[in-house]
Amino acid sequence: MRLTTDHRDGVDIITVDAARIDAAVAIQFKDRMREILGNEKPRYVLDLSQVDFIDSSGLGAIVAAMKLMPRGGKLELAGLRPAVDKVFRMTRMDSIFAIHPSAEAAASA
Amino acid sequence: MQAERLEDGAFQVCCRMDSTAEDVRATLTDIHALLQDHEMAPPPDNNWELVVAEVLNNIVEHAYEDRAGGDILLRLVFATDRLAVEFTDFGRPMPCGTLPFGAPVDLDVSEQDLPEGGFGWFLIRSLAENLDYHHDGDRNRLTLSIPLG
Repeated sequence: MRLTTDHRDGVDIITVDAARIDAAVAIQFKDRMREILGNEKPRYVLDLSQVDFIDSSGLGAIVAAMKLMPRGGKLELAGLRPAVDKVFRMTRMDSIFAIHPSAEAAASA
Repeated sequence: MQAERLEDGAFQVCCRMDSTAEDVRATLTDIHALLQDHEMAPPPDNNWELVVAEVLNNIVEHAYEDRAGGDILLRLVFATDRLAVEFTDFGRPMPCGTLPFGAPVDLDVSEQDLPEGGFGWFLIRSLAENLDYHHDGDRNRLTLSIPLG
């Protein structure tokens, strides 16, 4: 479960370098996000464009990460592939997160 | 993992995995590879994989209480328009002997109170049909089917 960060235009883009966020990696994902969000940048965008599968554990881990946002900021999401987007829509979690078509779109928003 | 073409043309995959999230993930990855090796047209969406993953995760977490070393048997039968799945495990039975209701989670709460779990059965019930569960002697058996496209 590799997460890499890139700071551009006042936005911290966190790229998930993995195809799946599932029960096998949910805890690692949360731990890594806790480290990254501790840097307290103004905006964080989670780039999920390489992720083609999340299950309910993966969704829960992303919600947990959102709760770790400093100063109650919003964790934004970008690049949701159809299978991932579906899980967010079915659970209505798409209403909780700002979702961008891509990391680039998020950075210029 | 064993695969065979059945008399009625359906494609059956049978396998056994250990009661860990890692082995569940490995099994799903292996099934993808198997479908490709046998030149099976991939199912039109991944609803089947999400349902199977959620049930398997529940077996690991609840039937085996997150302890490795338990057996989970999986049988998938891919027909043209639906997938029939049978899950067998030798762990604890379902509480009350029935499947969870799977109500949608309540999102009308403050951000810090947003749920981080409890979505699994809602997803399973939204995507799968003909759910049937029995605890027979020492084993749990769950069957369901998932429409394909």
